[in-house]
Amino acid sequence: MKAVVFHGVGDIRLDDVPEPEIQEPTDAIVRLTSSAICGTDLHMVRGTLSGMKEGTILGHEGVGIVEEVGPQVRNLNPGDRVVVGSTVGCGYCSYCRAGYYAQCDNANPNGPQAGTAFFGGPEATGPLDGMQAEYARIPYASMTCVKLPENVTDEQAIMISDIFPTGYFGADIADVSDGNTVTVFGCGPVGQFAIVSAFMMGASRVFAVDNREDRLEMARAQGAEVVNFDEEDPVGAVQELTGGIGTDRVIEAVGVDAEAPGGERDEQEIGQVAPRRTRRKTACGNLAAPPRSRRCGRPKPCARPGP
Amino acid sequence: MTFPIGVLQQRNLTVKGGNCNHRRYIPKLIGLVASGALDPTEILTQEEPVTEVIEAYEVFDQRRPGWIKVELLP
Repeated sequence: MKAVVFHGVGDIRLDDVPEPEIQEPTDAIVRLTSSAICGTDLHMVRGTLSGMKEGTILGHEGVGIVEEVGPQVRNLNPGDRVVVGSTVGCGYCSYCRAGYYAQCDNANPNGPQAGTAFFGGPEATGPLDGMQAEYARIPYASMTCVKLPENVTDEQAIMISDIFPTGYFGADIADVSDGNTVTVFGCGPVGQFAIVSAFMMGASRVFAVDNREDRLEMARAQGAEVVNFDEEDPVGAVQELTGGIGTDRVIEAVGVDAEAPGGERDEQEIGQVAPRRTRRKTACGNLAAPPRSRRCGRPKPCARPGP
Repeated sequence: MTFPIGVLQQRNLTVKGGNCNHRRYIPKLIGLVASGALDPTEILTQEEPVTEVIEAYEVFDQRRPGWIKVELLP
């Protein structure tokens, strides 16, 4: 089958690879009808998210039809249309049962201390072959595949595989509640879903920060108050719009490849967190947030007035 | 890079992070979309058959206007 395979930083290829097979009784094989490219995939290709094993199939977002189920998959039939969650959890360890599927004790082949198991990621996450392919093996399929109702299209469902839950998670761990003001840094897909999720959770105002006009327009269309950090200081702008107070909550939805106004990048800091990053011609900015932290709750220092 | 722990202390801040616990939210979000309360497809911008996926990666990497999210149809 055809699959997008990681060969090295900056080197991904559409290769012919063997179709996956059931390995564990809890596996299913899904034939993908929709997949996606995520910003995180770009981090892997650029090298800012390091540790990728050569030969890993990329892609942690998928919608498809169940082709085959292992004997211990009791809630799915071949032919079912499902969305595949990006992170894998067993559903029975103490973490999964508390809702922390990203810290499952069993899903990561590297052991209970290894952290999140997800598709198409670095060796530390498995590695599990991903879903930018025709077929994928889904571990713990009873949990990882969720059946779709007829009136949710593939196009809608592919958002529910990763980016909508991730944006929602950002708003959730930020503890957004009725009346809160929220700042969302980064208006990519995850940021857009963080915005809509923050509003759903009762935010009265959401400020959206980015420097790309098309992304800001999309945020504005959702009702966010937009700030272009290439045109003004985002902290100052948010403070001014909130009577000098700043916002109750901040959600960081940018990731490792953050930029600062003016386009400078602190190469030394990047080097510390992402040693094998590719060289790029375009200049980028300083890290605007602690490296690798994807979501933050509660006000960050930059969002509040200070001495 | 130093973590601003002094500011955290002085301002009583809370910082949380991590990877999303997807399975916790997926059923609820399916329900939201199925009920018609929300349609997430407004965010999708470009449809590509898989043979052009490498090119899609390259273009997406450049963050060109309009390329917010890329769906792949195998």
